[in-house]
Amino acid sequence: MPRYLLSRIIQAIVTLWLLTLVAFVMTRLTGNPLDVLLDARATEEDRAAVAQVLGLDRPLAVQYAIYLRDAARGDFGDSFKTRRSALSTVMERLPWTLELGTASFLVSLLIAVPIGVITAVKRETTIDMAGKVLALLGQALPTFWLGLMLILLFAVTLGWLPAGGTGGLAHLVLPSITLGWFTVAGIMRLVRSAMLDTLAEEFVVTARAKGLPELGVVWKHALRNAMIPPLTYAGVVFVALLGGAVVTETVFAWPGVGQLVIESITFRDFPVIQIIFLLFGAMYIGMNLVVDLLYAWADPRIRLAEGDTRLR
Amino acid sequence: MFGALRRVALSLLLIGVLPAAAAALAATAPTGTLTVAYATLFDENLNPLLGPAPSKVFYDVMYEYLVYNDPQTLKAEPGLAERWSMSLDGKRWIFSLRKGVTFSDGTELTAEDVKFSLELLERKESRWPLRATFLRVEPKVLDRYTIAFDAKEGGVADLDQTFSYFLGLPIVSKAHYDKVGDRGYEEHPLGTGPYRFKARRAGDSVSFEARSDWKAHWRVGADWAKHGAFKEIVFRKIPEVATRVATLRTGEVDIAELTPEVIREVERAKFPIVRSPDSYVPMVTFHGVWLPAKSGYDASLPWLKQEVRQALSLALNRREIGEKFYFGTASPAAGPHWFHPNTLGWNPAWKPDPYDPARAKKLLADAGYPNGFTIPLRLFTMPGTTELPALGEAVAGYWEKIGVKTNLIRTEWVVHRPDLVKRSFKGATVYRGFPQVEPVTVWRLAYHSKGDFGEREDGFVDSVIDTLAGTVSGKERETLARRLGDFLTSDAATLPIISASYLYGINPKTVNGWQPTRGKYPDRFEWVVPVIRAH
Repeated sequence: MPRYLLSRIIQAIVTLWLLTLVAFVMTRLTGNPLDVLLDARATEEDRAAVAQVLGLDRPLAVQYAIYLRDAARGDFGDSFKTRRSALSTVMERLPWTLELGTASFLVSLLIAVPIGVITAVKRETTIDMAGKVLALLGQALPTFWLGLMLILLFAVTLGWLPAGGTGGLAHLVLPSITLGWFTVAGIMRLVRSAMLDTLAEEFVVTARAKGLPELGVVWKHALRNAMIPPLTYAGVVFVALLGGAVVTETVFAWPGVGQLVIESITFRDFPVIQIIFLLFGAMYIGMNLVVDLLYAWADPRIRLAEGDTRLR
Repeated sequence: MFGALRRVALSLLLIGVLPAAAAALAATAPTGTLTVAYATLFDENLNPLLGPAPSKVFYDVMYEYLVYNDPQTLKAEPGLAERWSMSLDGKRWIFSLRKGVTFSDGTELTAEDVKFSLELLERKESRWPLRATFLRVEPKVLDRYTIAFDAKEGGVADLDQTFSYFLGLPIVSKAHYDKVGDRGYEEHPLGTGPYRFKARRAGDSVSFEARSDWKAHWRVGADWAKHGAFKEIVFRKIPEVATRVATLRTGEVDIAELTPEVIREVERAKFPIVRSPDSYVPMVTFHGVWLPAKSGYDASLPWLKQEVRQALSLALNRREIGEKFYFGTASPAAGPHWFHPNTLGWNPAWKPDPYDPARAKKLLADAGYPNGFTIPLRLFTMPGTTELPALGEAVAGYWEKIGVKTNLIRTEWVVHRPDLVKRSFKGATVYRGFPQVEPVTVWRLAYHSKGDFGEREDGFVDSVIDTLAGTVSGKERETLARRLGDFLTSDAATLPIISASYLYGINPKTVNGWQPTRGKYPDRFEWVVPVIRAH
């Protein structure tokens, strides 16, 4: 297990370093920020002065080396656009994205797991069909449209919930359903197929033969074993929800990182774009690492395999 | 007996008078929150050094200007400057400041603050669009309340608009700025306006609160005491128009920026629409029509020919665009870019070109393009006019009917503008103009061969604009401006499409009255009259 953990951590660090390189190069492909930052009649002398202030006058390799050195110290520079700390600029938007992403993820799990289990248990019945249709609807309906329909129904017509913005739990309900529902179908299908396999396994037959209650067999014994593939997928889904919330954030005027990405690319705000790249990359890598470890925890065969490796 | 009567009388008096007094007090003291929803809050900067003009969405409640404009006629009115004058040779402006005006920290406004504000926007890292114009003058403090702006070279007769509200110079406190520096100022901005900065939630909102000394405020004090005002103004960013309409309907916002396609829905829901009439004119501009001596000049471009530009104008069905594209909220427009009714140089004889595709085809054939040609058409949005790219696609459709193909290029203004300055883009755009009282500054930017945009370079155009900069007589200025406008119109230098309005939905339960300035995006929130309820 320790060797497995160590190799996964080394992989993560290398990936993260590569990511900094990709982020650095990609941001510079968007164009020269001086075109956006300065009045278009700025003289070459003006441009050179500002380029020097921003460190854009040095060779790209030197800029990258300075970026890595400063980043290692936790200094990611100032936003070209606002002249405030780039890290603070991202961090003041990140809580909103985390809040929305977590709520959406919970919504997704709360809908997908029960439907996945029920459709597996009630296989080839009307309930199975209805469950699949409900989940698929989330994926088939465009997020944009779904969000607006929910606003019209629950905010404008019924007056139960706010139409947009932030403020409290009530503001979170509609955007999290909109964002979360999109991923329901994927998780539900995985839960269903994993449950179908698990329900056919011998330990389930044995449990039933021993006279254990059906609810316990399904929800306690079978589900825990069936959750390994969905767990792997769910980790990726969580980070994807964080990174893919741009449309939902726009519809619900949610001030998260998704909107910041768009604004920063438009303004060629390199320091901010780089942090966002790095942040989401790190979250993605971190989540995969956690999932791998959870996978190893949930499936004793992985630990045994690791033990075998050490024996060899 | 009398004592009892006195008590009864006093009680009746208290019952009758006190609530009335309380209601009167409630009617005058700023109360409640005005929430305004906009598609964007731009870069949310509060420091003019960093803020491009569009950030004025929320600058105007906190900062003030030397000169203001009447919201309807656009005539210049005294602002922080009580009076101003130009020297007879057109080389010096003198502004006399109003005495006793204070910043929200209580310090008095002086000529040093005005000088500092100009110099702030002249700094190399300044992103203020009129930086180049400001650089034409040298500010000189004559005394505590008087400042002069001297021309560094040539005349500056065209600059009064530059210091006014429209494109103007927001006045910041020198003492405060010196104390807190660039970074500190962004967090703690300070102006002389009736509202002071309260808070900013990045990507979400910027809020302001009424100054506690509002009664003594030179601009709003008397009006607020009479009509009331909002204690707090919150500008919220709501990018999607359908969501803005929903928040208006649910009462979450009081004023919402709208687009033409949602007007009917808002009217059906019985929310009044406030139009800022003739707010702007979307139009086609051409690029490449430069002085032949310019590097990059290409004599083979079809749109260098006046007949070709005329044909492209005749191909546009302006009435249909007004009815179908703008849902009846806009009407066909005439006049060149930056010329508008009742402003300098406007000629009432200018009429919108008719829709005449047959004549357009003939003009093309006569110009040597019977089979048409291809023209690059750059499309981008501008603040308040997010429909421009879609309108550009409609324009492309009309042109295709006469055989002219377009190469549609989606871009951003910030990307496009430097290409204009460098004269590296040859093609057309769908852009917009809006009314200017004294438009010589923008004519210089748009048309002069040394200007930014190169929309129609010509020796005659340069000479008129240069002469205007040094002409003081109003009559002569009008004659010169009219001559320039007539030339540009007959030349089909730019193609006006439609006269459109900025549209806002308002909540009648909270907003009693509001009139934005004609052609300005958007303003006068400090003048929004609240609905006063009896308590």
